Amino acid sequence: MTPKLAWRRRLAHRVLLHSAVVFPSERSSWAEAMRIEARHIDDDREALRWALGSLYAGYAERLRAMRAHKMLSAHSLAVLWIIMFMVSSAFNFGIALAARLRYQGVTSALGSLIAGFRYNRFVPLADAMPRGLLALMGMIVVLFTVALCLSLRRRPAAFAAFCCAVGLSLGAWLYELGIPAYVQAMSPQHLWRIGICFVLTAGVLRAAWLGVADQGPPNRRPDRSGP
Amino acid sequence: MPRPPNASRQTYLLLAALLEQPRTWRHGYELAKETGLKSGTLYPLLMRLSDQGLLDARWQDSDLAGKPPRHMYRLTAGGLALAREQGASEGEGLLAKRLKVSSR
Repeated sequence: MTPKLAWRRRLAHRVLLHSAVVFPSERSSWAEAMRIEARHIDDDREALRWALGSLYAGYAERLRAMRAHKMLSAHSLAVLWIIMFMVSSAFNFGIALAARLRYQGVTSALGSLIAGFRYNRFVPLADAMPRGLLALMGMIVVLFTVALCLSLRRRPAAFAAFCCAVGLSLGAWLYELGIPAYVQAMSPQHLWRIGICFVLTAGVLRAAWLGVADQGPPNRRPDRSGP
Repeated sequence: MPRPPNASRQTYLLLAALLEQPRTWRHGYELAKETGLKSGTLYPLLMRLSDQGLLDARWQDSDLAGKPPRHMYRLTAGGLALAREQGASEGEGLLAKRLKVSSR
């Protein structure tokens, strides 16, 4: 009959088994080394500490193997950026349309998501908004959605679609600034935030453009029309 | 002046500990006790040194009956040179300080 292990030793054993799973496969011999080393430690408390260290090392190695820089690639950041614009434009279009159609419940529900939203101020804005502007907002949402889909498929046309959508939304925003009801409905901080967002996007696009220019002309697609 | 590779305090400590008995194979627990490094810090350092070709690692049968073979470490020629060049003075100071603290 095997003697009953103390709870610390049992816990250490379990932790070491888990850390062996956590370690990336190319480091499995190191995980094994740490696991076996724990068996040479007589003191249970010390062995548990050792096991916890092994777990920490396992996760650290796993994170390193995941290569954080790959997760934060230019592509994934661009996708996030497009999503942010798409959600924002869809929200603006949705709330304006709801207010225009007098769907009070929808407008208030959407408005409650904006800090400091004042429904009674927003309704005159929606009324003052020309139909063309509303249609333009809808088109911007569609363009951002197209840019997102193309970007997820890694199509180069995503860049052009995104630039068009940003350009149109900048135009729409500048137009809105000319509507007194809009300026009254939005707080100065909100207007500043939108402005900063456009400036940031312009910077990102400029950097992306320079990045493309630095790489030189794109490679020609392989000719698939051969025999 | 460019920052040398493996320039952390913990690496200096480890290099100094390995440099004390450069020909002897050492096991992880012994190195952890000597340097005061936790296993979660020590092993990633050992892995990095091994990846850089500065550390040799091998499995060695345990002297104790019923115990599994242990992973043992010692510096390679390159590791020795680096330890002597960069780590020694810094690491020995740190190691001496650590030994002084632990003997109190």
